[in-house]
Amino acid sequence: MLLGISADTPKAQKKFKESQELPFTLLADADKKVAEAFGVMKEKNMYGKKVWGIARTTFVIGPDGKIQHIFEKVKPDGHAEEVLAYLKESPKGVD
Amino acid sequence: MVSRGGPSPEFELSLGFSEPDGAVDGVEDEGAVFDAGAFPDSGAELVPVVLVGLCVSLGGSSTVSMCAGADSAFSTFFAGSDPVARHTPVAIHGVGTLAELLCSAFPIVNKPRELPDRSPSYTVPESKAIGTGSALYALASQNLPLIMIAIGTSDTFPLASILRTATALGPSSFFRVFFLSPGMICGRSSCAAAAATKTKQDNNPMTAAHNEILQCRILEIFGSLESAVAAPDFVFSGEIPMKVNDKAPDFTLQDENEKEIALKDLRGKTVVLFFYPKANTPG
Repeated sequence: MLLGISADTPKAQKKFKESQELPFTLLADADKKVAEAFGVMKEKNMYGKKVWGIARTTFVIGPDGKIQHIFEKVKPDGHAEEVLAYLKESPKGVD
Repeated sequence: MVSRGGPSPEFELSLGFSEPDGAVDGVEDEGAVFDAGAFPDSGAELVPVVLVGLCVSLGGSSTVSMCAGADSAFSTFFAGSDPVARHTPVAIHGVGTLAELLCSAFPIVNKPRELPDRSPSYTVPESKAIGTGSALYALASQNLPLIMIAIGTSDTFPLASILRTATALGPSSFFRVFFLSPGMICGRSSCAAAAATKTKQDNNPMTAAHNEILQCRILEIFGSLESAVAAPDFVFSGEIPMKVNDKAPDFTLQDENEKEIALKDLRGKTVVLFFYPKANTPG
């Protein structure tokens, strides 16, 4: 199960998903509560301005509900391959 | 998490400091691990003092009188300390006084939660201390199942230079404390005063510049301060509070078709969770 989370509204998510033809579910975390719960809020430098935002982070959560692996400082390019490579090596696989 | 209890609890503090670029030369991204296990005898007194001192910085100046007293105490506490934190601190406050100070100085959400496997952390979504008051209130008003304490740091703050070791944490590193016993601490009046002070200072470019290097963080505390002081149990973590083998915090969110998805419904499956900034933004 692949889930993407951002602070977008479901509507924006849908648009994004359609435009990018993303093969996974996008969840709307508008108030960023889940992002906070997972501790992925970071101070970032954007156009010379400091902002608080969601840092690209990927969690692999095992069937037992425990976090199996964390990818931090995720770069958009090539990350899918990285995750897939990890999942392939992982004995439990992904549904 | 370090096992709890005992008269000589060992714990580790780690503090992260971050300032806007160029605001303070040479103090960017400071972080340090503060090993209180090295001086177990004074461990119980140490942390409350730290917290009070931090609150002073949150206030930005001695306009918050409750914190101001603690400020000087805090300075005394660390004055002349070895910069690599190998020193043995001298306990200068009784537990009762500390509890009192803490009780009047911090914003609290009065809803102790049950002991978590791992708890989420909440960070003030503002890079400046100025205006964090509103952020604190926003968090506090949500009635989160936590007791939260705001702490601030500044360049003049002694910890910034003293607690510096090779363990540098990133700008988002933060400082968390877990107290295990249930109960509540106190109200949040003084930090409201601190927030008001800051808003005023915001209009003055000089003090605003000074305050820019202040940062406010949320600190979680479970349970009553008094019993915590007697038997503290501390966990401090780095950039990402969630670690491998932690239980993932449950959540329910709407998917792009506005269908609710709860993490707990996905037990038995491997879930890959991507956090990403808003769609179509560069961050």
